[in-house]
Amino acid sequence: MDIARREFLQLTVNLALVSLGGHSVADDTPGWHGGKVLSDVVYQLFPHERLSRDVYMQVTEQLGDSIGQSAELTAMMNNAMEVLSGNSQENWFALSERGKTEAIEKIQHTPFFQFVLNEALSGVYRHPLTWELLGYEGSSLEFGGYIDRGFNDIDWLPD
Amino acid sequence: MNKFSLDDSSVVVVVGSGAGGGTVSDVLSNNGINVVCLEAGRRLDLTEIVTDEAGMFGKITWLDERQGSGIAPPPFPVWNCKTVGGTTMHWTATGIRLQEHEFSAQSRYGAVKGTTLVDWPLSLAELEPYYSVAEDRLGVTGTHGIERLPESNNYMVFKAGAKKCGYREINTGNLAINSKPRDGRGSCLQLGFCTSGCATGAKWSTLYTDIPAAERSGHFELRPESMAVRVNHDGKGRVTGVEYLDKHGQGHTQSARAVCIAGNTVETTRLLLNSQSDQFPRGLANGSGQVGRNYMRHVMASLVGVMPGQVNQHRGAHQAGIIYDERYHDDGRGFFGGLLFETVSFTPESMARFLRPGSWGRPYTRLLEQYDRMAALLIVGEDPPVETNSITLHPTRKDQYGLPVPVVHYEHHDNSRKLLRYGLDRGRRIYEALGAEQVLELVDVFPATHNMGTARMGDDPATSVCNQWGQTHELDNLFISDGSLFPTSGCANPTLTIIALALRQAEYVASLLRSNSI
Repeated sequence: MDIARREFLQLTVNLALVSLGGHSVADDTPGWHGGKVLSDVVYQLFPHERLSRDVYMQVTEQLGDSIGQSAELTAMMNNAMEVLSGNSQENWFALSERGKTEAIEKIQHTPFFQFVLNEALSGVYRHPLTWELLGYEGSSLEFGGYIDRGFNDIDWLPD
Repeated sequence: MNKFSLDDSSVVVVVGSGAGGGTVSDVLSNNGINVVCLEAGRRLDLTEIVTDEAGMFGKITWLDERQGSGIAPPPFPVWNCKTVGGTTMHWTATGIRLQEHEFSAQSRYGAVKGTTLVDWPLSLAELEPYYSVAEDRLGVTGTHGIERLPESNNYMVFKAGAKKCGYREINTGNLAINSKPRDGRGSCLQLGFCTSGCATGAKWSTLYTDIPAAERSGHFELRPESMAVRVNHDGKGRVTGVEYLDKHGQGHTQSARAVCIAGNTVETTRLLLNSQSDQFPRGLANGSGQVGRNYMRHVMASLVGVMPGQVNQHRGAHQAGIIYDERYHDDGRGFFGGLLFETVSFTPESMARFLRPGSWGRPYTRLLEQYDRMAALLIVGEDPPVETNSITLHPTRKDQYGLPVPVVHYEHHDNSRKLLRYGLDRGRRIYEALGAEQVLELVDVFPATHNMGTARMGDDPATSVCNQWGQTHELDNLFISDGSLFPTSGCANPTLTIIALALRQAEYVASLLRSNSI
C-alpha cells in the first residue's frame, strides 16, 4: 500500500469517527465506512451483476488514492457522503437500488460526481475481468493477432 | 547520424515529424538538402508500442492544455499526437484521394451563406501524380496492384447491411496497412485498435519509414522533445530561424535557410500567431487575417448497431471497410458535399465513454453488456469552411512552455447538420436491414482528428495564407506543410492529401533552393 493511500484511509477513518460524534465504526466492518459506501456507489454507477465485487473495491481504492491526495476532493467527498447517506453506512445500505439511484441523482451535477463517474468508468472498463465479461479479448500481439483467432468467424449473416 | 550547429543557416528546419513533416524531411534530405526536424514529442522504440489503448494514450497523445468552445469538447477539443511520427501513430491509415469536384467546391456548390467556400488553387489532375507516388510510398491497398485487406467480422456486417440498402461501392478500403509484407514492413496480423499505434509496423507511420529514410540520407537530424515556440524573420521578408525549447526547458535558436511548419493545425496556427512582430503584428504570414480561421474537422459521427449475433468488432484492423456510394455531390439531397461510411471499433472503455456520454446505472450497463454483439461505423462528411470556426490564442492562460493556450472553436454550419442527419438516417438502415435490436447515434462526442483549413491556400494574398505550393504569400522561405493548407475539406480522410501536397511542396522547395531563389 503506498503512502498516499494509507494516509487517505487514515484520514477518512478519522473523518468518519469525527462525523459520527464518538460513535465508533462497527468493529466487524471491513475497510472504512466511506470506502464501503463509495465502493457501492461505484457499483451503482456501473452495475454488472456477474462482475466480481473485487473489481469495484479495486476501483474504489484507486479513487481513494486520488481523493486522499486532494483536500478539496476529500471535502467534496464528505459533503457527498452527507447527502447520500447522512454519513451513515447503515442508512445507505438500507436503501433499495431505486433509493440509491435517487440519492445519487441528487449529487449528479456536482464536480465531485463528475470526477467519480469519470474515474469509475476508466477503472471498471479498463479492468481485465470486465473485458472478460463483455467479450473483449484485449491485446492479441502475443498470440499472433486475431488473424487466426476469429477476426472473420461470423456465422449468422445472410448469404 | 548528422548533427548540425545552431548557427548553420544552410539547413531547412521542419517543424513536426508526422505525415507532412516526415514526408518533407525525407524528400528534401534525400535530395541532398540538410534538414533539422524539430519534434515536440519523444521518440518511441517499437517495443514501446503495445495494444493497450489507455497505456498508449498517455504515451503518444498531445495532452498539453487546450480549450474547446462551441461543440468542440472543452478540455480536449483535438485528438492528435505528440511523438515522433506525429499523428501517423494514431491514424487509421485510410488513404483515399479527394474527388475532382471537391477541388472546386465554390464552382460546384455555389456561394453558400455563412461559408467561405472557395476553389482550390490546384486541380485533381495536378495533384494526381503525387497521389500516385504517395500511395506507392505508403503501400495503399487497392492501388498499384496491392491486394486489399481481408474482410473482418465488423466489415462483413457492414457490407451485408450495405448491400441490402442497395449500395454497390463497398470494399475493405484503401489503407496504408500491408496486406502482404512490403517495403521492409510485415503484413497486418489483425491486432485491432490501429489508433493506439501499430505494434507490428504493418500500418504506415513516419516513425519507421520516412524518419529512418531521412536519417540514412546523411543530410538529416531529428531533434525530439524540441518544442518550437517562435519563427524569427529579418526585415527583408525572410524567415531566419526557429526558437525552440529542449526537454529541459532550455531555449535554443536554430538558424534556417527555409522553414516548413507541419505541426497539425492547432500547433501550426499557434506558432504563426505567437511569432507576431512589429512587421507582422497579427502573426507571421497573417496579413490576410486568415491564419487560424476556416477551421474544418469533417462532419463526424458514429453509429453502433446492437446486432442479433456476435460481431466482436474489436478483432481486426480498425477501418478496413468503406462504403463510397454517398461520397458524390447530389443536388437532390438537400445539402452540398458527400460522405463516406467507414468501419470503426471501440474498446469497452471508449464504448462506455462515447455510447451515451454521462450515462450510468443499470439500463446503461445492460446496454454495454451487448458489447460483443455491437457493430460500429463512422460517418465522415464534407465540412464547409466557416470563418468563425477558428483556432486562437487564449488572452491570458499559458501552458508549461509559457505559450498561450490554444482555443479551438467549432460550430456546425446548417449544411453540416443536414448532411449529418442524412448520414445517420442512411447509416442506421445498414444495421436495421440485418435486424439490429437498436442503433445508437454517437453525435458531437468525439474530439476532432481531421484538422484542416487554418492556413488556407489560394491565389489571392488578401484572402489566403499560402499559394498552391504551401509557400506563404508574405515570406518566400516559409512553408506550411500540413492539413492547415486545405481551402475546403472534401469528405476523404485528409492524410493522403497532406502527403501528396507535401511531396509536391518538397519538390518545389528543392528546386527553389537549387536555383538559389530562396
